[in-house]
Amino acid sequence: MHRLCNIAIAGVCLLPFVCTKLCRAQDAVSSDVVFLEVPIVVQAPGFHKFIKAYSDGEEFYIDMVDLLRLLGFRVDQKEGVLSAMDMNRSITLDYDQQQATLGEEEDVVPLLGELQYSEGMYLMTVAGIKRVFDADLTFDEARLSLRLSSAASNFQTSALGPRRFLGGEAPGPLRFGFERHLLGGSIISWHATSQWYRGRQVYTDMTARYSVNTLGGVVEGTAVKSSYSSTGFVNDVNYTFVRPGNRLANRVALGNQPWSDGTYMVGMRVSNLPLVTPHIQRTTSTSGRVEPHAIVEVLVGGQITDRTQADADGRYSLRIPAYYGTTEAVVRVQPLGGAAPYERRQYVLTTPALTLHRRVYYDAVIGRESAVQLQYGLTPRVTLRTGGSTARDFITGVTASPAPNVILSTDVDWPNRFVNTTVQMWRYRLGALAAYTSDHGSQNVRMSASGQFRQWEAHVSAVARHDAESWVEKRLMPAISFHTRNGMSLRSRLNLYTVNGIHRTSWRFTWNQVRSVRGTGLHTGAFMTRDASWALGGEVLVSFSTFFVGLNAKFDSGRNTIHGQLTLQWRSPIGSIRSGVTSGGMHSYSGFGTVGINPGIRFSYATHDESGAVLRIFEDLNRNGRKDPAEPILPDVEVQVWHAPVSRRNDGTLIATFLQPNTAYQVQIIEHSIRDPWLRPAPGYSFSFMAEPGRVKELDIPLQRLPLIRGRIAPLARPPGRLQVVAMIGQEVVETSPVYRDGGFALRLQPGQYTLRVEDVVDMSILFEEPLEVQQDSRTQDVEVKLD
Amino acid sequence: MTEFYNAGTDHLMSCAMHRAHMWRTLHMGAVAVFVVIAISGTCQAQDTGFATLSVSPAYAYITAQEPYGAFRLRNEGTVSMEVIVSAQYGVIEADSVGENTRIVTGRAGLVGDLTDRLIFYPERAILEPGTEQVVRFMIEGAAALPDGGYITLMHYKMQERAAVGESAIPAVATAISIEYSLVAPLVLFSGPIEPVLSTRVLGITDSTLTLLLANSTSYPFIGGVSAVKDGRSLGRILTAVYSRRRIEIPLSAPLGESPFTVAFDTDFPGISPYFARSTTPPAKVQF
Repeated sequence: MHRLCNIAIAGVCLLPFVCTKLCRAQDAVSSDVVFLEVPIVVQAPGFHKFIKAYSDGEEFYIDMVDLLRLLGFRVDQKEGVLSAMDMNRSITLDYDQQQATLGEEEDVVPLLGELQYSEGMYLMTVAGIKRVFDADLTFDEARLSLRLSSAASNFQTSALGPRRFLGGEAPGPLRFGFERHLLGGSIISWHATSQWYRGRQVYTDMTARYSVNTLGGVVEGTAVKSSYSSTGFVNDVNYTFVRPGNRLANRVALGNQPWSDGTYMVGMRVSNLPLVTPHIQRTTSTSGRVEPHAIVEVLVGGQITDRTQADADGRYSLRIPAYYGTTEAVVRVQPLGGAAPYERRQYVLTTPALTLHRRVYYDAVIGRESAVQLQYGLTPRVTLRTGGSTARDFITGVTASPAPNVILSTDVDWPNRFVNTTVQMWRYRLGALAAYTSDHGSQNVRMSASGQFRQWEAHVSAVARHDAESWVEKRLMPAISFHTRNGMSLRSRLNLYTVNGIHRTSWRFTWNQVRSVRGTGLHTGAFMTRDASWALGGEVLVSFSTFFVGLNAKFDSGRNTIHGQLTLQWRSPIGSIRSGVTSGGMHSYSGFGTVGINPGIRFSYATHDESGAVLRIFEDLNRNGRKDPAEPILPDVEVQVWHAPVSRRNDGTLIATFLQPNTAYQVQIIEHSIRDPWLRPAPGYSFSFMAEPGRVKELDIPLQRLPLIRGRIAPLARPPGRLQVVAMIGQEVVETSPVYRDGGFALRLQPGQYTLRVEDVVDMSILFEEPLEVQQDSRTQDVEVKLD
Repeated sequence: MTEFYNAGTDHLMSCAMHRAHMWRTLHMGAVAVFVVIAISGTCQAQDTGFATLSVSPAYAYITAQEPYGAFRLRNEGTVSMEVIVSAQYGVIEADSVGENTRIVTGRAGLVGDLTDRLIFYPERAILEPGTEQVVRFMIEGAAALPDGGYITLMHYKMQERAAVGESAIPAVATAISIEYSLVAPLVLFSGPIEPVLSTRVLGITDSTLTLLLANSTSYPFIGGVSAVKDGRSLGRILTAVYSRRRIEIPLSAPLGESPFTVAFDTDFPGISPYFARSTTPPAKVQF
């Protein structure tokens, strides 16, 4: 009775403030208890969402359908039983039996009095939720917030959609997608060499690799004219029509097709293999234990890729974009209470041999000779593959990664008696590899291990080869190196080997020093070797901004000769020229570079420039999104393009080069480099673009000076956290703003006619709606919103 | 990254509880029971979350040639925060007897007012824990300013972002909210920098020399102040003197009875070497 009185008083007190909720929820559970609808905010770092909840004045009841869906479960409701499943877990809440059943082991958690079912709503007390989810959820009654641990084991933290990777290389919205052109441009990389020996030309070659963006696809080829070639001129042409993102067939190609074993086959190729080797194959996770509630973030390549808060026990789990090869991740911990932050380094090894889970990749060539390859991601850590051709072997293999730092791989060709097995391991700065190959009775064993400690590195490898009867070769090769922070390095390598019963020893010692003096690079080095005889040598390389000189010499005590070479290289705006002469009378001359045609003509001093992008960041004075002649380029705005070098051209635009075609590149506009505070990029500060084959893509990035709409809501009849201001054109939401404690809000809008709406994000009621005209010439515009 | 205003010796953080709102709430008799809940909730909240904002840089010194820059705000705490940014003319100064170092708004001695020419964006932001917000600023028409120093104080007022539950009754929520204000001076120099300081000794102990520095020019002095005896520095402190400032120099040895010198230099961390080159430090003073 006393409790009922309290509840009644509480209800009366709250009535003026939450009357709409009260009326709707008063009979939510049973007729003798008055329930108030009290939305609860579910929080995790970078995540904030409301769910329905009710209070009887003492207990809080959470709407479990809302909560479980939020946590990424698929929820089914049936006759008093609520079943929830995600990829790894299942939870069944039986409202008749008053119990929960968890997981495949069917652990039963009694929840007597904690489950309430009424009128289609499946409710559960906070205490019950704690019993099911343990430390993964913390209820903060002061804030009515349910805090989720990012290191939770009872639900999928990745289900919290908005908690994506922060910054880093998580691709932003694709603002500049793939475009097809009848004639979109071409890029030609060229290389020419001529060698002379004592006044006589002994070798020439000319190679041009071209890539023409045409007919909606790309024509690629290589033209080679070489004095070694019997036919004199070789031209491989290939037309490829790509469909980026299509999982069934993303590439159809006609022509001379390169195959995985290095050979070529003429015919038609169809494949759904990734068009390019992706930079990120998948995400992996790292977990650990730090101070309770510490903020923990992970950096890859200097960029924060994920951030979380440790739970009450200090446990955390973070996601890392796993690059092919070795990824170094820095975990930075900021303990609460002002203690100094500290860092830990971790390494992750990822192999391209693993295919995404449940994904099938195929690659097939049909022609005079046909071949096919299949890969299947059996589990996230096991990949099966098989393949063969009409003229060659049929190989089946499996690759597994039982742990993030262990890779096992086996290939078998039976009955040809070929087996190849490798094991790779990586832990912190230690790595190890073991491989075994058996081919028609001949066996090879190869092992290596390497480690780093501060400025020291050590590496040891061993190889053994066994033919049908005996060991014919054994090698042991330890090496150690040391480097200083000012560019000096020392390396020594020993080679102990036995070949056909003969024991030999050789070693090599190398010293190098690299220095930069006022823009000039100076590289000096010396070495000493001992094999069959002694040898001593040294080299000096000097590089200026566009010019390079190299000189090296070697004395061989066995032949009692000195061998020297002088090399000169000049990097001109249209290409590079290189010349070398040796003491033995050999002269060589070579030139190389790249020409890009349409849009305009562009030269580069380097080769393999297959795709590029010009970023024109300009002030969009008339705010139409297009670059008009009078609109100035902003030469001070800095950008970062992940995995691509960016340089500024004389006209103030930026150019990103050496891009891989058909790859989405992430652009980050460095916000503080925009001088005028009113300017902001129309595509956002972070976005991506698709690099196209054979083309230097032009990206116009407008920075617009949009009027600032300053508003204030009065009176603030509802909690500001529940309110949201929306600017709409028709029914399309253009911009939204949260409402602050003082009732203020701010919007940046193009001049024009809008509908300004204030809505409650909890019950979605519309509290205010009126037209708003944003003036053409105003920098700021004040708006008063009066709520009734 | 420096937390709170920190220019030399002063660490200023104003923490003002809105008592007026609290009283109003306490006098709303019908909801008294919920006030108790809310206040106990505040205590509980201290165990589960805290609000901390850092501003970097803690001060910005710019020139008329490059009159722009940015502050970076970062929520180092564990709860969401609202930040409202504003600018006011004023300085940090001591009173005439060297007491009560405080923020004074509306005047800044001879240093000019930059507020009317300042534009910045955004004016308000919500920062989730661990996230950052860049506040860009620019001085309009800086090239036309007469030679001298100009100042405005950037105020970053932060309040914990209200969750729905705690602020189910808005008046209660306001009552328990605490507003923190961080102040970062933004100073623009036009022309050569020639500050002139008058120095008064307020006190000497074996371990501390207390001085009152008064700036009689429109150029703020930014740099180091050293106590020198027999050619040896016994202590040095970094400071920024806009109008009048009390400083305490920690001494490595007692000054004793014999004369000593107070010397000034322009070596200050985090500012452009341009200032060191363009600034003529005040003349040394012998005591």
